[in-house]
Amino acid sequence: MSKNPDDRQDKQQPEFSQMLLHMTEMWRANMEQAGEVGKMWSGSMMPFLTTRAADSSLFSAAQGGEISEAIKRMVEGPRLADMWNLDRQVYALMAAWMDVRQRMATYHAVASVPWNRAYERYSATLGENTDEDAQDFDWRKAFSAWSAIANEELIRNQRSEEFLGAQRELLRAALDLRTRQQEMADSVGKLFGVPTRQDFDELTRQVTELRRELRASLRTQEEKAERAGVTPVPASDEGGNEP
Amino acid sequence: MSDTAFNTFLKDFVDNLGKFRKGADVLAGIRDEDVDVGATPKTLVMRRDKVELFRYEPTAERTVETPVLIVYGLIGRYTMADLQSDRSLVRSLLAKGLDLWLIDWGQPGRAERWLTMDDYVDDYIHEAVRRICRETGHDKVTLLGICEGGVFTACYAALHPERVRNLVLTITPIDFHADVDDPAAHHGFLNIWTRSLAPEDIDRMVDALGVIPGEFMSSIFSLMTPMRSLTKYNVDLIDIVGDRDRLMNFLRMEKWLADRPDHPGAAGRQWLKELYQENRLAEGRFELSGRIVDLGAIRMPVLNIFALDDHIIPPTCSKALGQKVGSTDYTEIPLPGGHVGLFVSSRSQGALTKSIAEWLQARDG
Repeated sequence: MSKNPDDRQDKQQPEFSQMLLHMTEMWRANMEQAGEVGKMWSGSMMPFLTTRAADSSLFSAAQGGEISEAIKRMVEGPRLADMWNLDRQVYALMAAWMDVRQRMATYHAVASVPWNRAYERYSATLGENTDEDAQDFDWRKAFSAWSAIANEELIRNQRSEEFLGAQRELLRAALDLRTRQQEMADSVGKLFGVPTRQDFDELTRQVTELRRELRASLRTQEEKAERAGVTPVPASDEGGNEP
Repeated sequence: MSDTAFNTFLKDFVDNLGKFRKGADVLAGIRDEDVDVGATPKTLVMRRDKVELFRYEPTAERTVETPVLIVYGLIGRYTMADLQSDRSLVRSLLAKGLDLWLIDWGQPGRAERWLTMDDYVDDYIHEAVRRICRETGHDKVTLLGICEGGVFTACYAALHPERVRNLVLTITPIDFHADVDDPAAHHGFLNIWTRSLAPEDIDRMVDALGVIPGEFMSSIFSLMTPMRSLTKYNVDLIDIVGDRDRLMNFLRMEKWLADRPDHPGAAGRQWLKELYQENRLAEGRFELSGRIVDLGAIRMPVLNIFALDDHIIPPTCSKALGQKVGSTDYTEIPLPGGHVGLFVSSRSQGALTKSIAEWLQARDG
């Protein structure tokens, strides 16, 4: 948590302002500690992109990139025809996981910037409060003022190149991880003769294309019949169209 | 700190604790099935894959003969138009004497990954329109498109004008790059976010996941209103938790928000790449089933309604239609409110219904 406005300024604030300032600081600290902003996006994104592929503490030392680089070198080494492919996939998965963690850290750092700015702006408004304001203190009004400033700063930050870039890199890393996980799952599935997701996708692609061709053909027949003045038979209601 | 301020703060604090306790008791007595959305009675008329065509039961004497087909998008569900009995576009239009039909896209999943917008427009909507015509004896229908569904219906009207009597669009993006002309700082994040990605990023997402996940779209929407997203389950809840009616409204909205199906992958590529990134529809380069969608071919009467504080579809993106359509009977109605508020707020609900019903009554027959 980064402490922001200097203490001298704090001490000059009236008592009422001190209280609001304290509330603001608490709110900001909570937000930062909980990482709520980052979680809003990554928290909803991660469940379907990632799983607990590895103990995070094991790789936390890899933020500097040494272990990550070593693993990447193993992944990118020459490929052997009949050996080590599963190992290679495991290493690729580990490298992707570490990449996600690094991108996530960058993203959280960028996402926390507007909270500091909001804190500074809100603190500045408190200096203008008088003792009369203290008499009429209303936490809703105070919160509403804080919320409006924070909202403005958060929106401004979201539109910045830094934020969009960090989010883009995190998305790419997360999708790469998801792809590596799927490759692993497919390899294991193949070992046990289980159809893979690729098989499922190929099957649904064929069904979709076949259905498209069939329906286009039926529609042409129906429209021909309509043009000829024959009562149209709902041939394209094939496949259980009737409820 | 003065005693008065401190006492007020403490009193508020105690009051709020009391409200939360009362609210917790109320919540404990509500089951998910009690939170009814999309409850207006309707009959299933046709099912095609996961797509269903419904006809709503009339509640008033018919004032507009031409059937009206409501087409929602693939992001979120149609229930937004029928959230609760006193804030339901569907119920209000039925009360005005319209013959209402609805396409429900269901819950697309990975099996629908290959479905394109071509399929949605030229197959599902086309078949629904033909079916309605067969059932009612009309040769044309009125299309009422909402958001992405508005794009579908605009495309359909351009490609099959002989089947469309009137076109009503609500909160529909046409020029996906017109957000740059919108002065409001909180408008158009979706446009900016999508353009910040490379086309290959969209491909990666669809290749990896098969769909554009509903949860993912929800998280992007949450980012658009950051403080609201952070406070709706705590600070904001204090105001409503003690009032059962307001709490039920809140829970209905939550239910709608939570019910966000995955967007079929291939159609998602078109939506995000060809429209949001490349703006092909506005530039006359968008192609469906091998045909260019020429908005100039829309010559039937057009009603274009948008929300003035729509942070998801900036008004400028919707207004662009006026310059593109070939119709000489084009009406634009800006209404106060936001993207969802237009349909569910008591303030704009009446104006929305009245605008649509009166406009259609004047153009029926």
